[in-house]
Amino acid sequence: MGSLPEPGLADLPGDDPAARHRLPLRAVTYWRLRAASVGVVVVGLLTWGAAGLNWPAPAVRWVVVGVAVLWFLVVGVAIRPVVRRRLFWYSLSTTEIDLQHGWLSQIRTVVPMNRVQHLKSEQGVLARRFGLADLHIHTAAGTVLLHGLDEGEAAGVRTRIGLLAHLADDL
Amino acid sequence: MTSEPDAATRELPGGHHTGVDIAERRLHPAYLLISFGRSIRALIPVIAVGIWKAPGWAIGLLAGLVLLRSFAEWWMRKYSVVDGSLRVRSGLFKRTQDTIATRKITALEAERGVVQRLFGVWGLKVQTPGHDHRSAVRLACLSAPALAQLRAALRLPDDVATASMPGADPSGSGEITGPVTLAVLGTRTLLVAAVTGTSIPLIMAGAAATFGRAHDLLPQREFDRLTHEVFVGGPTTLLLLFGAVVLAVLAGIALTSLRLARFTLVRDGDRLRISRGLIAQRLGSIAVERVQAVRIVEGSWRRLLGYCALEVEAAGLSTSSDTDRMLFPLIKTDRVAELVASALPELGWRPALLTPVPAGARRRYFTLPVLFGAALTAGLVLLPGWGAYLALLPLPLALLVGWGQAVDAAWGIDGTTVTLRWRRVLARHTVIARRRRVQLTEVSRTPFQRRAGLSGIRLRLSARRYARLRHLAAPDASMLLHTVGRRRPSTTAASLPAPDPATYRGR
Repeated sequence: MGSLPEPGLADLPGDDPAARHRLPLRAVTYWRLRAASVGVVVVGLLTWGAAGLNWPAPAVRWVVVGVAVLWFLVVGVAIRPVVRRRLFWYSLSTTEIDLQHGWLSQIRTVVPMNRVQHLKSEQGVLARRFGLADLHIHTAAGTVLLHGLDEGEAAGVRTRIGLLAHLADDL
Repeated sequence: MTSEPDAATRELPGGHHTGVDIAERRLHPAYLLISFGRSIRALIPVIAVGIWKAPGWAIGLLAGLVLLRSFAEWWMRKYSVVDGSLRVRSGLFKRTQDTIATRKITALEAERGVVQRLFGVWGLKVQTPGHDHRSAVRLACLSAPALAQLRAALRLPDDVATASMPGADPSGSGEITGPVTLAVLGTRTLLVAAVTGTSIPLIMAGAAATFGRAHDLLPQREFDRLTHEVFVGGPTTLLLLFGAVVLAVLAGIALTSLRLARFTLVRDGDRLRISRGLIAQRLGSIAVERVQAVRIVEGSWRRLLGYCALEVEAAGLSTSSDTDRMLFPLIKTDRVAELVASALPELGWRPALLTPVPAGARRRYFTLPVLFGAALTAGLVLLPGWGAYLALLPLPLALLVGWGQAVDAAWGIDGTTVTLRWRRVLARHTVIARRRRVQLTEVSRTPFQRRAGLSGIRLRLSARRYARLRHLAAPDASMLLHTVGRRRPSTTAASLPAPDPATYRGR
C-alpha cells in the first residue's frame, strides 16, 4: 500500500510552474459582464416581486433581494472572476492535460490524452468581442472545460490535443 | 435474408479483419407483429378516447397505417458487419446509418420478453462508451442463429486483441478458454436478496402513498367508515397489518425473482456473460478488456448478514440501472476475492488492508451530516404538537452517519489497482479500479481543507460513475493524482513538437 509512483511518471505537466498557461486578463472583464447581465435580470425580477407581492412577509422578501444582490452582483461580478482567473491554469504534455480550476473549491484535474473522445470549441457573441473562446474536452467520463481562452490559443490547443489524442485509442 | 457468413472476410496481419462478416440483412419478420403491437400500445390513449365514436373504416385505416409503418420500418432496417464495423441502416423518409467500430463496443446485451419468447427471437443492445443509459443501437428481433452469428462477428476483433495481451488468459497459455460457469444465484441467496433489497420498502412506500391518495380522493365520511370497518382495533388490526407486511414481502420476493432468478455468471474467453430472469430473459456480455473497475456494495442489512453485491464499471454500461452493471447480485463478502479472481484475473486485485484516512480527515466527515441534521432539526422543531419531538432524531442519526463515513473512508494502491472505500449514507462502496483505466482524476481543496492539510479525490470511471473520498491527507491525494490513470508516453507522442509555454503568455 502507498507505493511510490513509477519512475518517469512522477511529474505532471503542471508541476512545473513555468509550464502553466494562464488566462488573459480580459477574461476577467468578460466574466464580469456575463455575470452582471445575468445578475441584473435576476435581481430586477426579485425586486419587482418583492415590491409587488404580498407573500411572504416583507422582511423575508427584501432579505431574499439582498442575498441575491450579494451573490450575483458582489460575489459574481466583483470577487468570483478575479479568484477564478487567479486559480486557473492548464498545462499540456504529450500524454496528459493537467488543469486547475474552481473558485470556492480549488480542483486539479488530470486527463490522460488517450481518454479524449472529441473536442468542441465555443464562442458566443460577447466572447467574440473579447477574442475569447471556450474549449470543451470530452471524455467517456465527462467533459472538462477550458473557459475563457484566447481564441488563437484555443485553436492551437484544440489542434495539438487533436493530434495527440489520435495517437492512442484506449478506453 | 442471408444466413451464412460471407466468404469475403479476410484476415490481415495483426489479427484485423476486413471485408464482409455479415452481409446486409433485415430483422426477423416477427418484427412486423411486435412493432405493430408496440405501435398499437402507444396509441392506446387515442384509441380509448376515439374508439366509441369513430366509424369502422377509420379504425381500419388507422390499423392499416400502423401496419404499413411497421412494414416500412422492417423493410428499411438492415444491419451488416463490414470491415470491422456494425452498420445499421434505417428510415423511410429520413435515412440514417449508424456505424459502430466493433473495437468500440463495450457491452452486448441480448434480452427477450414474453412476446419475443413466443416467436423465438431476441433483442440485442449494442453499447459504446459515452452513450450513458441509452444503448447506441438496438436490434429488436433476431433469430437465435442470427444472434449467435452477430455476437460472434462483433466479438472477433476483441478476441484477437485480447489474445495478444499479456495476462489475458487466466491459464497463461495465450488461448481463448471455453465458457466456465463461475457462479449461480441459489434460491436461499435469492430470498436474502429479496428481503434485504429495495423492493419491499418500495412496495410498502407505495401502499402508504395509495392509502394517502385514497384519503384525498374518497369523501371523508366514506373514508372514516372504511377505516373503522377494516381497522377495528386489537388483534384484528395487528393481524391485518401483519398480513399486509407478509404480502409486501411476498410481492418483493416475486419481483426480485422475476429480475434475478437463475442469475448465472460465466467467463467465456475474453468476455463475461451474464444471464438472468424468470420470464423475461436477459443475456449480457461484457468485454473483459473494457472493465475499468469492480464495485463492492454493502448495504447496511446485507453487511450485518455478511453479504454484498458486486458490480462492474465499464464505459457505455448503463449509469442509471444497477442491474445492468451487476456482476453478481448477492454474495458472501468473504467469497468476493475468490469470485473476482476467477471472473476478472486481469484486474490483478490482491486484497490487502486499506489505509484509513488520518484522524484530522475523519473529523471532517461529521461536518456535512451534522449540517444537514441541524437544518432538518430546525424544520422539525416548527412542527405542531408531538411532531416537534421528531426534532430529537436527526442530529443523533447524523452523528451516526458521520461516524460510519469516517470509519469506512480508506484507500489503497498497488502495482495494478487503486482502491477507494467510502460510505454514502448507509451503504458502503469499495471500488477496485485498474490504475490505468481511470478516465479522469480530480483532486479538490476547499480553503478549510487547505488549512488542515487535507484534500478530496474523485476518480471518474465513466459518465456519472466515480469513486471518491471527501477528505484524505493532501500528500496522499497528490500521490494518487500523480499515479492513477497515467501511462508512459508513447514514442510517437513524444516525437511531436511541444509548444512553447510562452507562446500564449504575452496575450
